[in-house]
This record gives sequence, structure tokens and C-alpha cells, in this order.
Amino acid sequence: MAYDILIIGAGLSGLFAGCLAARRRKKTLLLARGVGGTHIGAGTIGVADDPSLVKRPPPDHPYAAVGKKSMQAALDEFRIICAEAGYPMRGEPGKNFSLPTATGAARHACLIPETMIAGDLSRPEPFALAHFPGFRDFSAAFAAANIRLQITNHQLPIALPLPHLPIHRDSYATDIARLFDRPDYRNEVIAAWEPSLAGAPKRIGLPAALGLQCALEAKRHIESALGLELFEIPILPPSVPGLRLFNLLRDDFQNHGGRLIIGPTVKGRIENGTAAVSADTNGRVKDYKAEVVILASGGFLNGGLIAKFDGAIHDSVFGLPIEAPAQRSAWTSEHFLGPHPFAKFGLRVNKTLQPLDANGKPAAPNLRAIGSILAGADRLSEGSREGIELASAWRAVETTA
Amino acid sequence: MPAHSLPSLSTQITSDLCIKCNICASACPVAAAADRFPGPKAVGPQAQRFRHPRLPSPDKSLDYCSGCGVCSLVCPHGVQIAEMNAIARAEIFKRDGLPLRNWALGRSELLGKVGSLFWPLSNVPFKIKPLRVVIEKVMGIDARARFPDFSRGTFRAWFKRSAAAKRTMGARKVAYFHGCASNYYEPRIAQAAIEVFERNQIKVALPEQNCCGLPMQSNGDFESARVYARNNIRKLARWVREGYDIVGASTSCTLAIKHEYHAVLGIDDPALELVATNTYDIFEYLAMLDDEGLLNTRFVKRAETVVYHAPCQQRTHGFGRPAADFMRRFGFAVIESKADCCGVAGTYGLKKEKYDIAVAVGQPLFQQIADENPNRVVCDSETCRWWIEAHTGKKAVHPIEVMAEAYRGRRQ
Amino acid sequence: MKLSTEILILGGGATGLGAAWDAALRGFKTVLLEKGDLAHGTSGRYHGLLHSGGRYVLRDPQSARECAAENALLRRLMPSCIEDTGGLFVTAPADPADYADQFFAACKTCAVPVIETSPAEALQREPLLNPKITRAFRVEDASCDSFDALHLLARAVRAANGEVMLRHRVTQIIRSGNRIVGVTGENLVTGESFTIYADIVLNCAGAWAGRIAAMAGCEVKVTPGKGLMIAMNSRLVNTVINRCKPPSDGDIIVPVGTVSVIGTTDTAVPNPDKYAIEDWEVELLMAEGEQIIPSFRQHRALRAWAGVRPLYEDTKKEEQKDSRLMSRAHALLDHESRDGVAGMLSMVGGKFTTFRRMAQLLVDTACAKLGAERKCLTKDTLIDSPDAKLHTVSKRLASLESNKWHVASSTAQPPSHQIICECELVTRAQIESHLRESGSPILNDLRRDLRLGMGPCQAGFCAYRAVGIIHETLQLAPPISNSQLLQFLQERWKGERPVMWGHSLRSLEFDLHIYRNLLGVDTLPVEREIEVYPTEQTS
Repeated sequence: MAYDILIIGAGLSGLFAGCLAARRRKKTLLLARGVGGTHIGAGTIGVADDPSLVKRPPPDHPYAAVGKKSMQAALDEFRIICAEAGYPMRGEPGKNFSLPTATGAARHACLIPETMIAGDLSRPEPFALAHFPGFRDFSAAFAAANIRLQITNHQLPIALPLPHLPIHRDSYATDIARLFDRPDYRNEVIAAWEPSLAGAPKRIGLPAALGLQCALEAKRHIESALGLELFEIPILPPSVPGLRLFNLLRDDFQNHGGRLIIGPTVKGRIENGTAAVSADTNGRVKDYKAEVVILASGGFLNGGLIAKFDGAIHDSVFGLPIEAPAQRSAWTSEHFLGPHPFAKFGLRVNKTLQPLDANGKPAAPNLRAIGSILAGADRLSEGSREGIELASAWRAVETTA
Repeated sequence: MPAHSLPSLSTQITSDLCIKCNICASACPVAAAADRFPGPKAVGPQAQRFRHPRLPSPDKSLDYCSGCGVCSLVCPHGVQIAEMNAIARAEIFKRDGLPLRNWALGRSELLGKVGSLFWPLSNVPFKIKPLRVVIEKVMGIDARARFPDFSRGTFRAWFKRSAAAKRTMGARKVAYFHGCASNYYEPRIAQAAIEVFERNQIKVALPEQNCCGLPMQSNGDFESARVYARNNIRKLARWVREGYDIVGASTSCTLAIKHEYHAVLGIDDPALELVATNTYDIFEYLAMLDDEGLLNTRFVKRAETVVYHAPCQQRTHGFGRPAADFMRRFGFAVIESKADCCGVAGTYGLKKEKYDIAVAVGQPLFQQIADENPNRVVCDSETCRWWIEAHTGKKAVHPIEVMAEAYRGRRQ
Repeated sequence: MKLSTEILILGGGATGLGAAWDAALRGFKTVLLEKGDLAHGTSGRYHGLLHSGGRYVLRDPQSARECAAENALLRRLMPSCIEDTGGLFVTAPADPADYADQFFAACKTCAVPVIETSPAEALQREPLLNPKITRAFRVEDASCDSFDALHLLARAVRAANGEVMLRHRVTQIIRSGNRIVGVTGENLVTGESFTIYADIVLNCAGAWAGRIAAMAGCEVKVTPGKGLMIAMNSRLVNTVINRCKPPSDGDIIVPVGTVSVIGTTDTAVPNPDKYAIEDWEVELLMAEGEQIIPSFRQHRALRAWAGVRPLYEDTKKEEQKDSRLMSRAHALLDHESRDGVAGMLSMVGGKFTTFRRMAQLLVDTACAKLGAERKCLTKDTLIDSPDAKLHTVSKRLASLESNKWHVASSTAQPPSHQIICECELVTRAQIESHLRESGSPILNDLRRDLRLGMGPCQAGFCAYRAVGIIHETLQLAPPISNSQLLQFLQERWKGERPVMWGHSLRSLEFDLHIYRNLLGVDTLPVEREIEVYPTEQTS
């Protein structure tokens, strides 16, 4: 049985490409070794800290390959999918929100979920940060102290007790989120918080854990009961806002008839100029046929790129070589925070997003590469990770039409 | 037939691949339901750094791992977390001695043999409340846990009586692995499988076989599990050499042979490679025939709404959910379960200290089934079906039964 | 600040702390000055081997005897930082075949306990070992966590009324005629200056001893010998594995704590504070590792670092330039007879395993100089508590497991068993108690004391959590907390960078994602860095 489109990777770009393909009635299969980058991201869409990057990208940047039109269309369709799932993403292309981080720095994002909207640092009303005693992944005191250095209308951190946290082990954000999904739990929390919030500002920032299945409902429930606004602040992984995006994209993909197999190690090969894919599960190798293969396996972090001891770098699925200096010491900067040269390593592609070989020719006409595996972008310095993922996914699916 | 190569890195060494990203921790259904379990990362790659092969591992809380394998499945870096935990647990029991309860729960084959011998009397003790309370006190098997009824007559006896299998003559040959559940409790499932093979002109043989050993393995009794595994490898290899494929409808049995004999029990043996290479879950096998255009697809269409729960072990096979796809072709409205796990995880949910955890793990599934209110629930694993039936009151069937009906054009 | 003491010790490594402990036990008023933190120098940067003596039996029988005796003694005196790993000397295919018999005979001569075992038995004990080894000998090697050992010693010094003053840098030695009478210097945390008068100064500054001596106008030539080590992410072996051949690069793997360390190289460097780790050195160790463990390169390398051995160069024998050929044995220099400067002794060279013996020798000599007759007590005084047991790798996991079930409620206080560093199982309670004891906001001190941030996530999670606790507990100004966080991440990075390939590169991208994308630490305001000496290696 042959698929129209076979996608490798279940991160933001792979899942989004899956949704787009399935929504266009393509017979689509998504194969992934595990779940991907959504679970460790912030759950926001960063396109570019400096909007001119989208307008005038350097020639070797992924934005140059995908084009402005794809960006606009990708963000529009992404917002439609999120809104249909009852989890609208706010914001508009070309503009950025400035939001507080868990250290009290400011981070930028183009699209953010409604659960973060009240954290907009451009708003004048005072706010306070809440600390959940016993939860180790968010220090309100530390973040608040840094925010006070830059913003005067911030008040002291408030400790808000959370009942029923695990006591025999440490809690993750997902533990808290699952509790917030329950209306009875929220009622308990409202009663427990009320005394601590007397006289507090009417805008409260919390670690991002306001529910997995029904975050908006949870937020509104607590807000209306306590008469204030809540906003989430991204914290150490696992990312609850990221999991929400994963869940809604996966559901959208499957609801539109897409097939998802998570678990196998995916191997690709190029035979007679055509990309072919097989999946290895526990040693059993199964071939899958597809008209178009979209490689969304990620950068180094998510296993799409592999750097060898001997200085060779290649993609992990097809083994395509990646151009990079042979000396390992040239991959990184002596400063931890970078910028590191390896950030821009990846597959070079043409405007059809076909990976190019050393001669600048497409490695296989039916192969596309999208997301963090693409060369030419320092995503951390540019704030462009999710923008590249969405726009390239949109463009890749468009090329299969 | 697909190529096969056994995993090259040993299970424990995969802890090197962990970057602590917590994806497994966020996916673990047990940790979500019970704070007594520190979570897959904590007891897996994290605790692994503190274990010494010649010294006892002190972290008994890892026994709260149900072994469902969701962690290994979602890990994007290839850490074999569940497998690592199973090995560490066995080490603890090796040192501390195996509890009688774990010994007994591992002996599904022995239980089946005794149960069949004394049928129907053998079904009585499990239903006597006071006796169950005593068993709970003495052995720690929860008095609320429901056990399936022994069947009147085993599948093997039926197969020997029935001439059906012998009639079928085809180029393709299957040696059927029925597992304990089909043999002693639910022969109807193996019978449905035989019927489906017959409809596809597949010659079926019934090899000598043991319990796959998974119940022993997951109860920490690796020594016995290895004995059973080696017996199966020896008995099944003969058939493979004669050109038979090993196929089973119990998805956990086939997974044990394909994956766990090597990755968890650590068996390294060319005969295992031969057997593992040629062992299939029944829907993996049928989907493969379908892909090759060799499947009889003269299904009689019929509308029915079912909830399909792909059990943990089925997903670990990694071939997707062909049962759901087939049922849609039979005309069914298939609602796929959103739950990661039903909770019981083999014998985990039968244990006194874990029963409530297992029920809590299954709650999202039970809720979904209650909300959708289908006539039947479909699920590939026997222990999951029994657990779902006990906690939802719905009939739970194996998808192969549904497939046999689709050929037949009616429900049995 | 001004004070006076009987014995002043310079250097907070194993030699200095050993001497301070010995002197304090003998009832001397004792002060120790260290310019950095405990174990900041060479003692904190070695592979963690407590020598059986086997390594020295052929070249330096005296050292071999001393190691064997001290090894047995230290297991009794400070068991909680020593793991009884046992050791193996194995003959790999590339090793000279005749060395094994010579080695075995020399062990007997030097009273170094040794048993020849079969390669098969060695392989059963250590399954990853090269199956082609031809000979195997069991010795009494152990591994020792030098951070723990030095903390124990510092506690023992204080318990015996000695003083240990950290981050106190000596800038000048005060002389009165031909006699040294004290030192002046700077408290690096407060910026205050101090003066300490002493009846005698013991220079235990290791690789930095030459500088101290120079301040006193004496020439002591200590050649810093750089030795590279790589920590592998897991315990590839649980026994110390030595190559059965003459000492050379990459001839040992030590399981210490949760990792295994391969060591070492040996290159003379001009400056103990500034030296680079070269790609070729890393490659050399990885290649040697493959000789011992064929799958070595498939495992994750976690970090690389170098220590500088204080190798004393007798100024009369200038031709000895290969630092490995210089004596690892210690030398006690009496500057009165040597240079005509009274009031100071220098102890140079030596090795961690024999620190107690060196200290005894040093303080014995100091006693003679001071005309005091006081017996050394270190042989019979426990450094640990009486109920302390030998360390095992499972210790932290075991204590976590036993603590976590005794918790009543979830909301009152953060649970004390809350794990802040998940890789090394460092709890909130341990961090809080460290902060109470030290008052130091320096995250690197937490690392040295508790192993915070030493595991595979390379501080990805714990640095944020820990800086939050430090910030809350010590009520710091945000720029100071921010600087601590960034400085710690940068220090960790120095160790990671030489092994940046494969899994480590993946981990780096993850940590960068956390600290830059999620937390935005690159934009936080920072304070002038607290001056922490030494600057450690630069690559």
C-alpha cells in the first residue's frame, strides 16, 4: 500500500506537515522514533526576534527557501487548527509579544496561547509571580527579583499552596496540569488561594501547568472565581503548553485520516534517485512506500543530525553528509551561551525544500526536508525555531500539490 | 520477508542516550496515577547510574513500574527504559527472593493446566469472597481483582478434534502460537484465528509450546522465564526451519518472543534470531499479506460502533494499528482509545498494593468507553480485555474475532 | 584582620589539609589558607585512584610500599569516601608480554598484595573488558572521591580546633631578617586584607609551591605536569583497570562515583593556571580506552579535564625534562638549611594516596624546628565518624529510597528529599545544609561539595533550581545570582567542550535551548564576577 506523503518525525514541523497533508486529503503516514520537540519547547511560536529576518533573510537561510508567502499561510493555517481544537493562539505575523521567563528575563514570541496572554510585559498593570511550595522547577523569588530590576510595577512573589502534589517523589509540570484539569480540584485550589491573594495585584504569573486537556477552561474558572487574570510562564521541560500543541496536532492529524506510528527507528535510502523508507522495530524492518517523503527528524537535539567522534556529521535517517569543519573544536564557541557554529549545520535545500548534495543537485526529487534539520539558521539567536518549522512544513506540503 | 537484525547495543548501555528531557516522565501512565512510582526516568536511566552489578539495588520503588513500555515508546533518543527497569527489578528479586505471589502470578500455564483438569470446579474458588480475602492477606492478590473463567476444554484439544486446519492446503504455512489465555480461558480467539487463516488458504500447524514466559519475566522471575523462553525457542525453531511463520493473536506473547527474550532476558542465540525474525502478531501478519495483495478481502460489511484500545504491548510492536484500519473496512465506526494504558499491565493490577493504581491508570479509558457507550470494546490483549470488562461492564473482544465475523457476515 | 598562630599552612589540597589535621591533632594552634575552594587545585582534579602500589612496584618500590600501607590505613580512617572497587592489572594484546612476570615478582617484593587470576575470571567480573587480554592480576586498588575526602579532612581540622580559611590568597611573605614570620594577603570574597603571624609556615601549595617559595626569596622548581582525564558517562567497569605495562598515557580506568575516568596524559606545562586541552589528547585517550574496553568509543564521554601534578625538579638534575620520569615521590625542603631562610618548610611532589604520611613527615620536621616533642596521632585517629562504612555507588539512591517514604504532607514545606540535581541525586536538604555551613553563593562550590551538575544533563536542570535556592536562602542581589548561574554554566562548558560529539552535542543543544530559549539567561544583568581563583583551564 502506497502513501501520498510519508513524514519522518513527530515534532512541531512533522506533525504540522501531517495535519496539512491530511487536511488536503493526502494519504499520509507519520513515522517517528519517539515524540519530539513540542514536549521540551515553550509552547509558543517564535518567528523572528527581529521581524526583518522574514522580510530580508540571508540567501542561505531557510526563510529564503520557503518564502514570505509560506510564512503567512503557515501561521494562518496553524492558527485555524489550534482554534478549531479550542486552543486559540494569539498574535499576528510581523509582531512579537514580550513575555517573562522563569528567570525574570524577557522572551519574544509571535504566537502565544491564550494562557500566556496576560503576561504581556507591555501592559502597565502590576503583576505578581506565584510560587508553588514544593515545586522545584520554578523559582518565583529569583524571577521576580530580576523582573523588579527592569519593571517597577511588579510586586513580591506570592506562595500559592497546591494540595495533593505527589509527596513521595518530585512533581513535574504535567502532574500539576493533570490536577488542574479537574473542576473539583480547581475549586479546592480557589479556596486555598483566596486568603493569600488578598491585596495582591490582579495579574498573577504561574509556572505553565494550568491543565493539559482543558487549560482554557481551567484558567477561566480560576480567574472568574478569584477576580483576577492568570498567565503561564514556560518552565523547565516537560512543557505543558508544548504537550497541548502536540496533543491537538496529533488529534487533528488522526481525525483527518492521518496514520501515526511512534516507536520504530526510521531508516531511509535513496534508490535510483528515489527516497525510500523503512521502519525498524525491535529488529523487524518494514518497508513503506510513498510518493513524497518529508524528513522532519530535527537537528542534533532531536536526533536528526549525528556528529561523529571523527568529525563527520550526517543526517540520521538517510545518512546524507552535512558540510562542517573537520576539526571538532571549530563546531563550538568557547562561550557556553554561544553563538555556536554548529547551530547552522544542517541540510541545504532548494526552494522546493529538496535536500541538495555536494554538487547542489537534489539528492532525490521526492524528498523534502523541513524544520530544525535545515542549515543556515541560528535559531536561538534569531528566535526563529518554530517559524522555520511551520513555514517549511507548509511549503513542503505545498510542493506536493 | 523483512530483514531482521537484533539490537546491537545492550539494553543497559542505552542509558548513555538519555539527556534527561523528561518526555518519558510526562508520558508515564503509572506516575500520573501514583506518586509511589518515581517515574520512568528516575528509576530507569537515572537510577541506573547508581546500580552496581555485584551489589543490591536499593530502590524497591521501581517495583511500581507496570512495565507497560510507554516510556520506551515515546523516548526520542532510543533509551530502553522499561526494559532497563524490568532487568533491575529481577535483580532485586534475585537477591531478596521472589514473593510467593509473584511466583504464582508468573505461573499462568501451570494455573491453566490445573484449572482445566478440575473444570468446572476450578472456577469456583476465585469467586468465593472469604477465600479471596484470605488469599489477599496471605499472598497480596487483591480480592477485588477479577479472574477469567477456565474454559471447558482447551484450544489444543479442540484443534486436535477439528479437522478444519488439516483441510487447508496453501503455499503459506503458519505455526500458531496460542499462548496460555487462548488455550485455557478463551479458545474462541484461537479458533477465530484458525478460521481467518483458513479463509486465506493458509496451512496451520500447532507446534508444541510453553507459556511465553512474560508473566514470569514481569513478576521478576527471570530464571524461570529464561527456561520457558529457551524451550519455546527450541520448539519453534524447528517449524521455522520447515518454512512456517510463527503467528499469535496474543500480542504480548509474540512481543516477548520478538523483543523481550533478547532485550530483557538477555538471550543471545542464533536460534532466537531465527525464531524472532519469523514471529508475527496476527494483525502484523494480516496487514503484511494485505500489503502484498494476498489477503482475502471479501468482507461482509456491517455497521457497528466499537471502541478500539491498542494495548501497550501492541504499540510496542511498532506496526501501527492495522486492526482499526481493517475494522473500518468492515464498515465499522471505530473510535480509537486515547488512553495510553488500561492499567492492568498483565498481572500488575492484580496485586494488592497496585490494584488502586491500576484502576486509576485505566480511568481515562473507562471514562472514554462510558462516554462513547459502544456495544463492544476491541482490544488485542487478553489481560486488558478482562480488566476492561471488569471495570466498564462492556464486552471486550479480540479484533481477530471481529475479522472472523466479517468473513462470516454475522456475529457469533 | 590580624592574627597569630603556631603553624600556618598554605594550600588546601590533600597535603595541606593532611598537615593541618596532623598539626591540630598534636595540639598546635593551626591555620590553613587556601586561595580557592577545598580541592580547587590538583587534589580535586585527579582520577580518583587510591593506589594499591601496583603502579610503582617496578620503578619506585619505596612509593609502592608506602601506597600499600597508606591504602590499608585510609580505608579504616576515612571509609565514607573510599569505595572498595578492587583493581586489576591486565595485559592487553599491545602490551609487552614480559612485563607481567616482572610485575608479579615486584609486587611480592614490595608487599603489595596481588593475586593472579585468569582472563576468563576477569572478564566475568568486568564483561566489557577486552576479551583478548592474556594475563590478569587482582590488586587492592580503590577509588576515592577527593572532594568528599577533603571535606572530611577540613571538618576534622576544625574539630581539632584548627582553622581552615578558604578564598584567602597570600600576596606577600613577611620576613624578619632571615626568618619568615608570617604572611599577608587578601580575602577574595570580601576584598579585605589580612596578616597572619606564625612560628612556622608550611608551604603545601602543590603545583603553586614554587610561587610561594619565590615570595620568600627561595627558588623551588616545581614543574606542573598536565594530566588529561576523561569521565565517561557511566561505570563501564566497577573495578579499577590498569594496563599491565610500564606507565604510559591512558593506562588506567577508575570507576569513581557514577562515572568511570580514563587517565591520563602527561605533558609539562609552564603555567599551572593556563593550559589547553587539545583534540589530539582526547583522541589519544579514547584510542587507549579501546585497548581496555573495545566498545569504548560507543559510550558517551561526559567531560574532560586536566590536573597539574606538582613534580619537583631537583635543580641539580636539569636534564630530566620528561615529566613522567620525574619522581612522583615527595620532597621535603628545609629552607633554613637549603636557602638560609628560617621559618618555612615546603612539601612538594607526592601523591594523594600518601598524603597522611607526607603530612606526618612535614609536621615531625616542624616539631623539631619548633623544639616541641609531640607525637603524631594521625595513624590512630578516625577522620570519619566511628560508624562510617566504605562508600558504595548506590549510597545516594539508598538514602533517597529510605527517606522518601517518611513524608507526611505535601504543602507545608518543600520536601527535604526533593532532588535538585537528578543526575547525581543531590537533594534540597544537602544544598541548604551546604549553604548554612559555607554561606558561599558559588555554585561551583556546591559542585565540589555535592557533585551538583556533574552528570549527563550537564547542569541543564539543576543549575536553575540550585540558583533559585541560593537566591532565596542567601537573599542575594539578582545580578549576583545571575552571575553565579552564568559562571557555573561556563565552568561546566569548559569541561564538556573537548568531548563535544554524539550524545554530548545533543545534550548541549538541549541545555542551550533551556537556558537561552526558555529562560533567556543571556539577557540577564550580571555583576562583576566574584573573583574566584584559580581560573582553571582554558581551552
